[in-house]
Amino acid sequence: MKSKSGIRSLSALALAVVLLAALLAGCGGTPESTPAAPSTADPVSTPAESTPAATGGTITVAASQNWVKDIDREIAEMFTAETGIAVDFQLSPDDQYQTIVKSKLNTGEGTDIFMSNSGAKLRDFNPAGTMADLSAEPWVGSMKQWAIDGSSYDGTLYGFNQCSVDGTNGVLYQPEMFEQYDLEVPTNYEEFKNVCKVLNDNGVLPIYEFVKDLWHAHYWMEGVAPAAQARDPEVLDKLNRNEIGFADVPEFVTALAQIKELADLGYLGENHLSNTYDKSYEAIATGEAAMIIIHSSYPNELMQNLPEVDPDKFSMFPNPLADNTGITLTAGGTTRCINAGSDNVEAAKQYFEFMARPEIAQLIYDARTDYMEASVEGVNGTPTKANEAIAAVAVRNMGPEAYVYFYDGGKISELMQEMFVGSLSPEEVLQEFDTHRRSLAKDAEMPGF
Amino acid sequence: MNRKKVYPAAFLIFPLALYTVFFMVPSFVGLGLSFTNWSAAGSGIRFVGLEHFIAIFTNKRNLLVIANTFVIAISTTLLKNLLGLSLAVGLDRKFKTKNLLRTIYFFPVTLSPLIIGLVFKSIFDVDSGVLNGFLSAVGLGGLAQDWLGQMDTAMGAVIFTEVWRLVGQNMVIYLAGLQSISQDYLEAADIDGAGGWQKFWRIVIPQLMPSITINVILNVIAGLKIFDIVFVLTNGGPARATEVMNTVIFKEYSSGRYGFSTAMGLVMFVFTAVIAFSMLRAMSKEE
Repeated sequence: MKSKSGIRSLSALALAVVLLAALLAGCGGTPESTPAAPSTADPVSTPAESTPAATGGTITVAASQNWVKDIDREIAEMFTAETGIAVDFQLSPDDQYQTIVKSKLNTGEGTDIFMSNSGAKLRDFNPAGTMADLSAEPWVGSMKQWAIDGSSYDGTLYGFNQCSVDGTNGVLYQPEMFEQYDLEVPTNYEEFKNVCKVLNDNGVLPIYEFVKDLWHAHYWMEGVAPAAQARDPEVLDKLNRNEIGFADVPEFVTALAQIKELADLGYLGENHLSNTYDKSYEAIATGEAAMIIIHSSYPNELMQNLPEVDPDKFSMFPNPLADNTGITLTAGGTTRCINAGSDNVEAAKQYFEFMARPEIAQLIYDARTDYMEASVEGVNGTPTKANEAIAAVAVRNMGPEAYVYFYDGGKISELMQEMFVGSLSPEEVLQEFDTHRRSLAKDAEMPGF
Repeated sequence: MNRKKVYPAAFLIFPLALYTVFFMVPSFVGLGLSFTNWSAAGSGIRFVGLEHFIAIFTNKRNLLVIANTFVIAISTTLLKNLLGLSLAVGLDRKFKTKNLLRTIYFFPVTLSPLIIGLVFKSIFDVDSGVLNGFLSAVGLGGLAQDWLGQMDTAMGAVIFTEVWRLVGQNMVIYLAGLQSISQDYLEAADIDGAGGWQKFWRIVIPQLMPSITINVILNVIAGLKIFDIVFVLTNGGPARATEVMNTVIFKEYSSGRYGFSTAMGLVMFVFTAVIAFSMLRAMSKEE
């Protein structure tokens, strides 16, 4: 008995020592040179350089899954080689990115750098509270004006843009396929519906839609803004002043009702609620699906993913819902911001300075053929035929996503899911969104709300 | 109880202080903040009365979320208890692989819900999921579908995963209950000529009431508080079909609407507390 009790005591003592050691290890400080441990909330965390120089430390970058490509990691490795500072990319699924980053920032656990959509979307992150002021950085002078405008809020520059300004919301199609079925490019909804019918009757999925990835479906509504602006040039300003809501803009309501009608007719296919963006490449490239509403740099993106695809075989026409004939411009895609509460602000600024060098920026724009216009002066992008085609025919306006405060395409897409399954009407989608947007703006004490 | 071994009251100071600082104070502050417009975007905090609670109970999308939460709580409670009890009865016999099977059924309880969610997300995947692959392999390809992306299957997939995760915990509690039943009762029933079902309903179930009570209460609370599994599997979709109160609290909080988020949290706390206490009182009487 005595020996059993002795063994038990010894075991307990050993366990206590192990637990204490674990506890002390947990409480210990992290040496500056150790790469940051990936958070459990981040499904993918990939250090660009796992063995940084001892003096460099690590900067963490939060991004949505599809925003960081191989070239970004290569540039990060070059930066690490030069400075000894490692770059740890922490990626989140597209549909959860915004939620995760905002949660982290709100709880003081944000990464050193985080990516945001440009334009009015910067406001969602409360720039003055969460983002470092970049107005005085040495690279600012070499940036194009659209890159500065889209990354600024209230006159202060908060982001470093290395993306592209392009038209969104064009409907991509293959002119050859249209010729094959004797179709004309539609200029209004009725013609568009007829095109869909012909394609559908011939066994081709007329439209590839993927409502599950919340960044996309709202384009059908956002893209008719030029029609609304043609009727009332002040419409977006009125939304910003809260004189009207989205539900009060007839073009937006009509666009939602029409896309619902197309879905009910089966022109979006059976799987439009569960399709994903990455599967669009094959569907569009093979002609399994005829059209997709998308950014005009998409053909280059297609080629990046499927090298055998010729990007020049695609063209674009304006979103014809609500008889719209214009396209909306983005505010410059995504932009990189520095967390104002970070301990590594200077290292992050050094990283931006490195990326803004023309020779480095050119490497990015050479690799990212989906970027049609470079943000840095003297650096060349890769324009697409589709973009040229749509730019030639359409009026280009800044759309709600780039211009209207607290516009949240993800929220609208989420509500559109409910519209597609019949839980909400098109009017209710926009009324719900107005309520959501107004409460955010009211909490932010925006004038007029 | 050996009264000589009672520790001095001073020992309570440290844990009580921690409990007060990290639980009581935040809870009461949260209670107060749910009546304010506290948000990430705003510069100050203003009292807004019942505004958030009115929004919660008058908006049909929020009511749907509350309904979804109850559907999950009730269905998982029933299934976990029925399956847990069945497993416990089956594994309360003497056979060779008894301990191995008990371990296997209990194993999911030891895993993180987040990891379970990720594993089941792969299993349910429409293209590369094991489930659809299996159905196709056995000639039932027609039944293969997008389990997490369709309105009529997403909720079922969430419930199935949650039940799979915690059925082992129920089994263990029922096993402990079964093993504490005196054999004398069962032998006496045998002598009186009682059949298997009669013994089960008249002796086993009444004797198991403490286990049933604890399992039901724990499962209802776990069901009302469900988050990780839903967040990973469906993130509340498709079209809010699996949205529950905790995912809304998370989303509202991360969008910076702290006031609304805490109000929703308070509603959930009240629901959980009232239901758990009511059930505990009602079921304790049965014991």
